[in-house]
Amino acid sequence: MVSIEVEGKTPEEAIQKALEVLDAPREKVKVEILEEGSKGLFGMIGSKQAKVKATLLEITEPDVGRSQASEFSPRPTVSATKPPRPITDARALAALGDTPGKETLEELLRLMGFKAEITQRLDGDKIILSVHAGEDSNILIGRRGKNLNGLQYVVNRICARKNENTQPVVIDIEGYRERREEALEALAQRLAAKAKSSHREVETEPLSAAERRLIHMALKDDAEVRTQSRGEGPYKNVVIRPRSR
Amino acid sequence: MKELVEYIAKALVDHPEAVQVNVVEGGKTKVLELKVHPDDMGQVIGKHGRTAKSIRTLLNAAATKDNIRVVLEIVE
Repeated sequence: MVSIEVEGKTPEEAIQKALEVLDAPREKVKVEILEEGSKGLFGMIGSKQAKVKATLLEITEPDVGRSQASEFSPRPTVSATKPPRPITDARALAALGDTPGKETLEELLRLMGFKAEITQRLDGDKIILSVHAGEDSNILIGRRGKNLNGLQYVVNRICARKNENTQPVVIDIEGYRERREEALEALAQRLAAKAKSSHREVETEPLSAAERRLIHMALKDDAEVRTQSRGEGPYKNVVIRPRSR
Repeated sequence: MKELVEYIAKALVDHPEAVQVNVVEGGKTKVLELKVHPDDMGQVIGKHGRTAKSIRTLLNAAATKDNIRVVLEIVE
């Protein structure tokens, strides 16, 4: 039995993505809605992604598929006359398969002398490779994620060279990305408060594009400050300025 | 270490057969000399030297684990 968890803006969107990944018609997939998701305020603050768990049904059992299908799918479920299409685990696994990114990452880690387990999952339309390396995890993350980002960059460069259409992967180690995200959001709020009270601009340390984006997003609804990226190449950072009234 | 640099370089260049890595051992410090086809220099260095920097970062991570120092030189 093959199960995947997929996120989307709405449950419907998540289901659609799941079907694409599994490459199966709606009636061959059992869907559980894990999170309904919510728009949040202004569609920004507190918005939550919907999350569904889609399980590919190995044997054609129309009843199982229908019970939950009817809610979202206007399409009629399996008719008795339709010949059952063989769906094997192999096919679904091939659809989700080991992505080139995962294979490249495995090879790199092996050559670097690390023993690690990698799991892949889909988050929205992003492929996330989670690395579990036990006590070596800290070395692999590096100072402020330096090693992790280097690893991600090399994997994506290699994959992009092999196939121009590959979608970039995000590499995570023991939940580091999420922790960093939270830390950056807290940093954004602190710096904004500083800018407001001092009436001066404050700047962050150099940040990657993804990290700069987080700062911009964290402060985009704050009417009292403006954010702007400054600098060139690897030294680019974010400047937070109090907005003059 | 040598295999790591070879693997990355070969995956990034147009002339993988021209990739060469020489190891110069020197006590606790190992120097890796990476040689690629002249047309591929840009591929292994990258914009703002980002690719070269990332390869060095990975080497350092691997070296930290083995408790040695590794220097990567890209030679023409």
